[in-house]
Amino acid sequence: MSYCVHCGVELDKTAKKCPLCSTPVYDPSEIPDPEAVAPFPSEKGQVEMPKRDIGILISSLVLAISGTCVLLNLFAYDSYPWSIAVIGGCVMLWIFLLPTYITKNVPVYVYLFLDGGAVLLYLWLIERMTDTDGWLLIVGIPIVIATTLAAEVLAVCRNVIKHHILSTIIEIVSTIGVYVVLLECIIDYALHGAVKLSYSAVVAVVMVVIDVAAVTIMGSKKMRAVLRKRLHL
Amino acid sequence: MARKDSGTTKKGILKSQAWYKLDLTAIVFPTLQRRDFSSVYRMSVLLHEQVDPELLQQAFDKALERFPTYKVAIRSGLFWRYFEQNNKPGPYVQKDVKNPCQPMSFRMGSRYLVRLYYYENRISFEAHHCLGDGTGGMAVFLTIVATYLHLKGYNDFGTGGYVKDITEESPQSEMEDAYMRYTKPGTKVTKPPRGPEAYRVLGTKEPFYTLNIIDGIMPAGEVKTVAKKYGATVTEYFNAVLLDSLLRKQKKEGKHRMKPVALAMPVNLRQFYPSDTLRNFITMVYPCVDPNLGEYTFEEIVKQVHNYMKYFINEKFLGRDVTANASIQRNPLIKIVPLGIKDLVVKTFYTKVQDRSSSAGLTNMGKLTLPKGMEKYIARVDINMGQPFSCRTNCAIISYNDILTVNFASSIKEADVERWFFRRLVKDGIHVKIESNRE
Repeated sequence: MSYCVHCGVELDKTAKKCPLCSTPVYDPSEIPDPEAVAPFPSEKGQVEMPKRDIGILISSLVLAISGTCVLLNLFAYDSYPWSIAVIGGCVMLWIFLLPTYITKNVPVYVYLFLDGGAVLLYLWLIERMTDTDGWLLIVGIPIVIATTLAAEVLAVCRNVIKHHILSTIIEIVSTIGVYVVLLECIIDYALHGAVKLSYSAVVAVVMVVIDVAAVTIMGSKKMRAVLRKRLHL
Repeated sequence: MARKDSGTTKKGILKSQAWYKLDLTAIVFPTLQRRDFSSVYRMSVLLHEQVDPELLQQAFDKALERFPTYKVAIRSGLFWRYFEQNNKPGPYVQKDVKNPCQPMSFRMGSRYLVRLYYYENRISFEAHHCLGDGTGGMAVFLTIVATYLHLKGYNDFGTGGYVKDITEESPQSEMEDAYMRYTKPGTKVTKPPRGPEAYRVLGTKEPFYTLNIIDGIMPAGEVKTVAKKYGATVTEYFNAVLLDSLLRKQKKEGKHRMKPVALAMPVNLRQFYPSDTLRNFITMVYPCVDPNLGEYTFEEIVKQVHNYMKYFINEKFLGRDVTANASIQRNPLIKIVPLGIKDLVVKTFYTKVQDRSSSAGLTNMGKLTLPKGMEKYIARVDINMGQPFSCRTNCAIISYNDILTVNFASSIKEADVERWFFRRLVKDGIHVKIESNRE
């Protein structure tokens, strides 16, 4: 019989490592018995589970609403192609709800890109409907891309960086700072053809100050202790 | 008594279309049902010889007829769920799998809420918790095992205790909703105070269809001696060891703000309110240690648990919990709320409050006694609380003859809690053998 050198527990004959601490089993005096039966079978089971009802329900609702609106638009209220806006809204909603009800185990980054794509599609439909050229390319697309990127950056930070309240503050604050600057750049360029930072510069400076303070506190154990004391944390 | 049908056949087996209300505890479990989660527990016995699946199937078929409340399907009504007699083919004996306690669909397949597995010398029984608690499940399971042994030709033992006579009628007392018997309508009690939010284990969630099991097998006598040394019962001692392991885990995570560490422990109400019911008749207690009050030595944790148990586990306190819950179920306004809304409220309450009030689950079924003569056929008994609702570990304990098994089931990759738990036992001089399905 083998024992784990770290945990002191007796291990099963068939164990290759300690299940508690993963220390490999090495017992020169124990000759491995190829016919020894493991305490648990090796085959995994999989049961049949029902399909996602809510997903099906939402998809059916989206289809039904879109279909009804198309019919109404074609045969009743046909003065204006308004059903395109409803269909676009339904498609956008359906894509937003994907991670909650319909699919799972897909990385959050993919969902965020899909969400950005859905908004772009909806804006494009509105542009087509309203016959107003220009704004989508100059303002719409850049803002949606900037927002999607900001969300992606936050998602990456959340998944990659170890959670700590200060690191979370730095991530959020930095993203907000960059996002606001980008937003003003896009709007300024669209309105005036040139970029002149005003409110976003103030926001960015405040965010930089917060970031610097957070980084300083993170790096100093003493400061963290003082802060806890002062804030009664 | 919850049964609403007009009558039973000679053997107490329900007539077609007979139905039951779910008991007070059972109401919660179906609302927690997810695609990747069901409240399923598991019991196993290890025989001294290989299992014959054909005979086991015969035994399963025969014995299950004796337990009408376990041969049912669950269905949804407008306001509540209910059980209905299930006459579909099955349930069938299956080869055991590496990942037990898989979800049980209420609508797919034959709709049975029990499963029976075999693997080498082992027979394992799984049941959805809405059917009954560990006591009820154990009676069904051991009756199946006894029937199997009889079919094998071992007829030198009778019935008694958990093993029921399959030729007898199923008495009404086994099917009663004991909660309703022991709680009077209109009784006013103060609601039990809500505990603080407990520490939640930070672990890496395993993918769907994975359940990590670690069984610790040890001599019951050694455990008793050690527990006595600390001035505690075996349950109190294991509670203290698990709380200590969770405290270590929280400390290791280096969280700035420590949270209280609490265990969710079911208490069998039959010891305070006599009942033969095979359905649920349990309530929960939450022994707790708050590290914010200071560093606890192991002896202090044992003392804390001991005092907690002495104070809370008595007829008065447990009765208050049950009465408070029963009064909610009896409330006429709640009765007329549609099932979907009830589900939403119960699930939200469970996820946001109930599940967060404990860091792990622990149950001790105590010493298992079998009819005289049956012991020689059974080498060991295991129980598993099944898949935890959230990322944590559940611990179930049972002893039989001089073998005590502590069975951990978790859906997280890390085994830190289990490691500290068993290392503590080894440190206290208990010989522990580990078996696991982890790779």
